[in-house]
Amino acid sequence: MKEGPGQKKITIQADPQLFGRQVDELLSSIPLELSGEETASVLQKCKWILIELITNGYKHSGDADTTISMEFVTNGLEIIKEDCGCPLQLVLHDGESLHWPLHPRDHNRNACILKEELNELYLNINQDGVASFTMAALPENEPYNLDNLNEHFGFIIITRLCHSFTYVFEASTGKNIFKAVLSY
Amino acid sequence: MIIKVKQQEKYTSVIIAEREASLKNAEAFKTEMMQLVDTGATNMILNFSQVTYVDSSFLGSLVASLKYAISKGSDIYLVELQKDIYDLLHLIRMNKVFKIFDSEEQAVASL
Repeated sequence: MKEGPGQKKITIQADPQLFGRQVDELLSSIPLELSGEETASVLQKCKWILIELITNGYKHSGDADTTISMEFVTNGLEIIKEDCGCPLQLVLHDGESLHWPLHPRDHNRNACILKEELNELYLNINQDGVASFTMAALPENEPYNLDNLNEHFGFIIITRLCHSFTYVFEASTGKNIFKAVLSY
Repeated sequence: MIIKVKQQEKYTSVIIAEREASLKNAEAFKTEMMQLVDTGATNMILNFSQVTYVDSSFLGSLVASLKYAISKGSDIYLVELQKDIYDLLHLIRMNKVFKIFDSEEQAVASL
């Protein structure tokens, strides 16, 4: 597998038993020139993002190879997960089903993926079909009903940790491309 | 078994006996916790001291287990979380949902 300068790429094997080893391999390749405290903070964020992207690969890529690549840019890191498994399908908060490849009418729209007392997750789809995940800022001490709380945290974790988190389905290659951009 | 259980006088001590709490054992964990509730366990103190990795699948099972426990008049207390796992719970605001303590002794003192 080719790697350019400032890049690290691994193919994830669809075996949850290898989970920790694959995360560790990626984490150990991150060159950071920050203070000790900053380094620990960035590595912690990277760890959770990698865990969630790899978990997403296990869950949704089927037998298709999942590739995780990391590209080191000025004051940041781009973590990209690619696979040729089934395109993303989401059931939105209002029950509408959103699936890729997107119908052109679904470009240029905002959609609410999840809305409960503690977390609200949205998707902003631009005119090119690039979907950006965003979280709403909610009051700190909002009362909640336990039964209403969602049990799906993968996209929430990545969105909260990143400067930006996007999904694109590349029709020409059949690739699902998730990109998490971390700034530091 | 994902969990090791020891019945104490006032509570049930539950240790997650896995280093990686993830997709590979999330469903089994949920099943074992629900079975524990069904046996009548009330105050379950869940010890994370051996856990170094948690993913969203496992966190989902943890929340599902809490919902089930509460619905049956039971409760789950979390203890001995590594700092980054505590930070992760805080990130998704589950620190508001679970009672979290540094140690089993502190959790017991709150009962």
